[in-house]
Amino acid sequence: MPDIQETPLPGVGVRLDFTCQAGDRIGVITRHSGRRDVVVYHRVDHDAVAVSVELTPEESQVFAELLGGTRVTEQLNNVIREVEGLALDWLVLPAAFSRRTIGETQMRTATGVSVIAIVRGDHPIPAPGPDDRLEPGDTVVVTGTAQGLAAAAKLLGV
Amino acid sequence: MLFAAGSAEVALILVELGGVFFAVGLLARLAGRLRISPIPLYLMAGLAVGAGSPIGLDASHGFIETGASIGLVLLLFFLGLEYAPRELLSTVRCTARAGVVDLLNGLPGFVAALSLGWSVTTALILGGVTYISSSGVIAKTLDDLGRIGNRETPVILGVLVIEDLVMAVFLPVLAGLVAGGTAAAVGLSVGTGVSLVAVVMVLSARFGPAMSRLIFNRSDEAMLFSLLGVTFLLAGAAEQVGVSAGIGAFLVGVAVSGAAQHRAEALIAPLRDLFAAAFFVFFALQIDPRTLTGVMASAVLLATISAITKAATGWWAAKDAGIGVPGRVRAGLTLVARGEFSIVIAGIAGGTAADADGRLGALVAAYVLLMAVSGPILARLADPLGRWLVERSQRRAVQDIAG
Repeated sequence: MPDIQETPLPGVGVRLDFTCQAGDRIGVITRHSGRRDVVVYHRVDHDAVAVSVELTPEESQVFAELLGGTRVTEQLNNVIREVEGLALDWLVLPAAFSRRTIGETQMRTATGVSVIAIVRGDHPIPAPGPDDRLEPGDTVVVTGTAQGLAAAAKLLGV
Repeated sequence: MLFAAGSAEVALILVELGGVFFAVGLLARLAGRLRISPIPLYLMAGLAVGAGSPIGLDASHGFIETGASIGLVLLLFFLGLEYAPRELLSTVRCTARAGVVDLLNGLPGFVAALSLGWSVTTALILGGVTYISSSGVIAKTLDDLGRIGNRETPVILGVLVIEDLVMAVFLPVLAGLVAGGTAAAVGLSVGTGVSLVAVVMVLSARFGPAMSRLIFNRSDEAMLFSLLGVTFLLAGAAEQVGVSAGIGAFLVGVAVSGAAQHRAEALIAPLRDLFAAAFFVFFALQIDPRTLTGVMASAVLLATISAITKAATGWWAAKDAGIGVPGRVRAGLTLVARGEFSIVIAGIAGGTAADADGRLGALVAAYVLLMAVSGPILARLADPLGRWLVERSQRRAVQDIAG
């Protein structure tokens, strides 16, 4: 996993970059306006940007897909930006997790967190109900407050 | 009234304003063509129609004067809008040392004013003028040159943030000093001003998100008026307690964050452009162009010295952050640009005892003219200069090995 450096650019946005195995340093500048700049650094002058490509939010999605990403992430991030205090997370249920239904975990009552999707293998289950089962190895997409998510992770043994 | 027959005055106001707007539009285009900031051109336009000029703006003078006050408020509101409270705190921590070194850039102006025989208050003002680099011009330059992603850019931006925060404290002090009075009165007004800024900073960090949520509205109209209302009210209140309307507006801008921030930028930007132009034109309007010739030599000298000190500051700050030589050159030369904030500072002195003969205003106008144009040019030269320096040190290294 490459070491991603996050650098806030006051008044502009935030820059995330890392050095790839081949030795080049690349990064993405996310501006407050939603515009993204993909930057590739100079090989000799490590501090200077050699190439910079400006992408609109839509083009960024397309580029991410070309690299193997997914549209869902972007749209979900938009939701989070609009609703302050809302957090979203992907939790992978450990092998030791005992099979239960969502209702049986009492997650909503205890932590206020809702499960909005389960991904089992390649098979997604969107908007599961309280009677849907959770199995070890599933990835559950949960949303709630930041504290709620921490409590939910504990509850599920993640 | 407005629609009464024979309202020649209304016609005159419209024609004068139309002329001014059209001229400003042409100047903005010219600035785009020449790839420079439009600020120096606005200043020149103001000088052209100002005191002692054949073209007089009589009927619309009131509008431009009011527009200038609004321009100041919106300029600084927009500046604060760009920043988020969390960003400010983390930036200050990282760039604190460079910020302290940067303070030395006030010395050229301070010393120059004293040597010209001006008062200590005026010297402080001129010190502020040479101290503060132009966030607007520099941000635009970085974008134009594609250097936003460079590793030295956060250092540059960090220094600019600290300068803006220092100004938030410095302007109330200046306003108090310029207002004059007994030492106790000045001390009281300065103390109230500074503590107020601190209090509002803390409050905006705490309650900013709540306020932003209040302002945010799906209707553009509703949001626009809420924004303007809050900004003007708080700016006016700030001015009343001696903190300077601009700083009040800046603090409101900082407080507005989250979803409201981006919408606010889109809504306010055109208004800011309109009134900011009025601000620069009005500042230059009050200067008699004939006084410029007297101060030009001083302005050139001051510009040269303060350019060198700024470049050295940027070099040091980048070196402190572990940036290589080419990056240090870029950081140094990019920070040279001065612009809108220097005019804001000098504007405080306008018409008061601190600038009795108008020479301070003339000196600052000439100084900003020089720096706003030469700053970006120097920034452009940073790359060739950086390469030359690197090659020179490599040649030296080879000579050392060979010799």
